[in-house]
Amino acid sequence: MVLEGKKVLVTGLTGKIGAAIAAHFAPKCEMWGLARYSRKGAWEEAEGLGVRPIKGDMAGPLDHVPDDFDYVLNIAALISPRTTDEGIVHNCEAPVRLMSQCRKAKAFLHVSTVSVHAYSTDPRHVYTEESDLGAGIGSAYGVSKLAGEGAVRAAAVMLDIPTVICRQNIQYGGTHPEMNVFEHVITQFLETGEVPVPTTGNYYSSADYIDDIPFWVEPCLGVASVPATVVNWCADHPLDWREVFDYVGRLVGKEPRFVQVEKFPFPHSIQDPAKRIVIAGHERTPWKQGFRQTLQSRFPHLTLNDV
Amino acid sequence: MIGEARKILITGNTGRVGLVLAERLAKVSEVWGLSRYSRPGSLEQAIALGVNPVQADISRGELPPFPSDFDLVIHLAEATAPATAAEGLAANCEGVARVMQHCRKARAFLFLSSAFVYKPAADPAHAFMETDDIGSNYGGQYAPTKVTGEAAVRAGSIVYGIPAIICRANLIYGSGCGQGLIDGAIARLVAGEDIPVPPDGPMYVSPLYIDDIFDLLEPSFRLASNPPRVLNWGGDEVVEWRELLDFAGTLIGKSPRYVADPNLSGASRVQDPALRRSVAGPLPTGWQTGVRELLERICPQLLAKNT
Repeated sequence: MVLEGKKVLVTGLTGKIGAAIAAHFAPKCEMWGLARYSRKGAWEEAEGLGVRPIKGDMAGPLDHVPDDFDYVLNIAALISPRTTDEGIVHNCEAPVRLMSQCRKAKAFLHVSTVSVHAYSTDPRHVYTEESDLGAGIGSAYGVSKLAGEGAVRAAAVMLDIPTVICRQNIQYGGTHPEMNVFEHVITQFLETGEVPVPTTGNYYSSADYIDDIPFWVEPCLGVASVPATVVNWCADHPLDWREVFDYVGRLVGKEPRFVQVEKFPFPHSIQDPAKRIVIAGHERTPWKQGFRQTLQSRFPHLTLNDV
Repeated sequence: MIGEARKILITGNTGRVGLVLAERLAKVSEVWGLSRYSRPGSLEQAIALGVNPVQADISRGELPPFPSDFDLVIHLAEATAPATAAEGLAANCEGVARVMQHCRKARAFLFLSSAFVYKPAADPAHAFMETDDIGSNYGGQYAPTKVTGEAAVRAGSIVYGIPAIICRANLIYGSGCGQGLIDGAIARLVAGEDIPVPPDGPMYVSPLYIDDIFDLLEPSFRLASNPPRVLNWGGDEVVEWRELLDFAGTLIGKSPRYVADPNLSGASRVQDPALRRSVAGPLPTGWQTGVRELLERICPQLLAKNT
C-alpha cells in the first residue's frame, strides 16, 4: 500500500470526494487536511476523521504548511466561480502554490473534471484521456479547471514532481450534507413523480459511485509521472438517465414521468474507463447496487422493493 | 527596462514577430534565439541579425545546455495548429514551463498569447477587456492549449517569483510573409484566390501592425507582476474583415471573392485598447495605412498601377 504510514496532505476534504478519500486513508497514514475551515464544525469533522487540520487559503501564501509531505492529494476546487478570473485564482494558481510548497512530494494527485474537454454534440460521445480539450460547456468552472491542468502540468515539469491528473465524472452516493445531481433529481421525483430530461430525449454520463473512488487513489499515484499523466475517474459503463430513473421508480414503486426541459443543466459526459480499469481494476459498485445504496443511505425512511 | 537588459532570450525568433523584434533588439542588447530552426535558411538569417541561436524543440523534454542568465525573456514560440491535445499541451504549456525553468532568474517574462482565448461574445462587436471571461474552441486545439500556456506562465511566475506579463495579441499583420489571417487573406486576394469569411455574419477585429509591436515591449514589461497580469495587444481601430479586404482590393484593382469558412465562426475579437493605451499611448499605424504598407511589401507594382 502506497500511502500506509506516509505523511499525506489532502485538500478539499470538506467536499464529497475529499471527505470520502480522507475517511478511507486517515486511519492508515499520517493525514493532514488543508482547508479554510470556514464552515462551523468543519474543523471538528476533520479531527473526527483522524485528520490533522491546517487552516489555509490556497489563493494566498502557504508558507505555514509543512513542506515534507510524501504525497499530496489536491481535491479542492471552486466549483461555481462567477468569472474565469476568479476561477483562475482558485483552480489554476492555487494548485501551483500547493505544489511549490510541497515540492519534495513523491507524487501529486490533482482532481480535474471531464468538463475540460471540447464539448461534442453527440450525446454518446466517449471522452478518452486524449480527447480534444476546449471550452467545455462554456462554464467558468470548466475553463478554469483547464487552466488548472495547464498550471499543474507546468509545475510538474518545473519542480520535477511526478503528477497524475484525474478527470472526474459526476459522482453519486454517500451521505455528505451537499446532495449531488442524482440525489437532487431523486428528491424531485419522490415529491412530484417528475424527472427532467434534455430535449435530446436522454442524458448520458459515466457517473461513479462515491465509495469506489478512494480505491483509485493509490493506483493513480503509482502512474504519476513527469510530464503529468491523465486518468479518467468514471464508472465502467455509460449510465443511461432514463434507465436509472426507471430502476429507481421500480425500487420505490412509483413510475417516473419524464419531462423534457429546455435547459437541462448537465452536459453529456460518457468517459472511457479503459485506462483506469487497467491500472486500478474494475469498478466495485455496479450502478443498480449504487442507486439502491444511495436510496438507503440518503432516504432511509423508504422501503425498497426487491427488484 | 530593455535599455538596461544585458541579455535577452527570444523564443520563436524565426517567426514573423520574432524576426522583427530580434532585429531591433540585437542592435541594443545581447540577444539569444531559441527555436527549432526547421525552416531552411532561418539559422543563417538569425545569425545575420546578430542573434545567438539555440536550436531546440521546447515540446520535447529537457532543453540543451545554453546560458540561463537572461534579464528578459520574450516567449513567442507556439504551436499554431496542434493536431492533438497532447501536441498542443507539449508545445504550448509544457514548453513554456521548460523555458521558465531554464530562465528562472529572469527579471521579467513576456508571454505572447492570443485574443482567441476569450470566450466568444453574443455581440460580434463586443470589445474584450483583459478581465473578460476566457474559453474558446478557436483553431481546434490552439485556443484551448493557449489557455494552458497562460496557466503555465502563472505557474512559473509563482514557482520562481518571476514577474510576468501575458500579452493577448489580436490579428498581427504586415510582415508580408503570408502568415497570419490577414496576410494570408491578402496573399490570396493578390493571387485571385477565394478568401475565407465567417459563415454566420460579420467578423470584427482590432488588427495590430507588425512594426508597431516593438514599442509595446517596454511598457508591457513594466506591467509584469507575480501573479502575472494580462494586457491586450490589439490595435486602436476596429475593422470588419470584409471591409479590410475590400479596401485592400480597391488599392490593387481586385475584387475579393468570398467563401464561407466554418473555421471563422465566432472569430470576432475586438479588444479594448484602454489599458494598452494608458501604458503605451496610441499606436502610430492605422489599419488603412498598415494594409497599404503591406501591399507595398508584397506587390508594389500592382499597388502603383492602381493608385
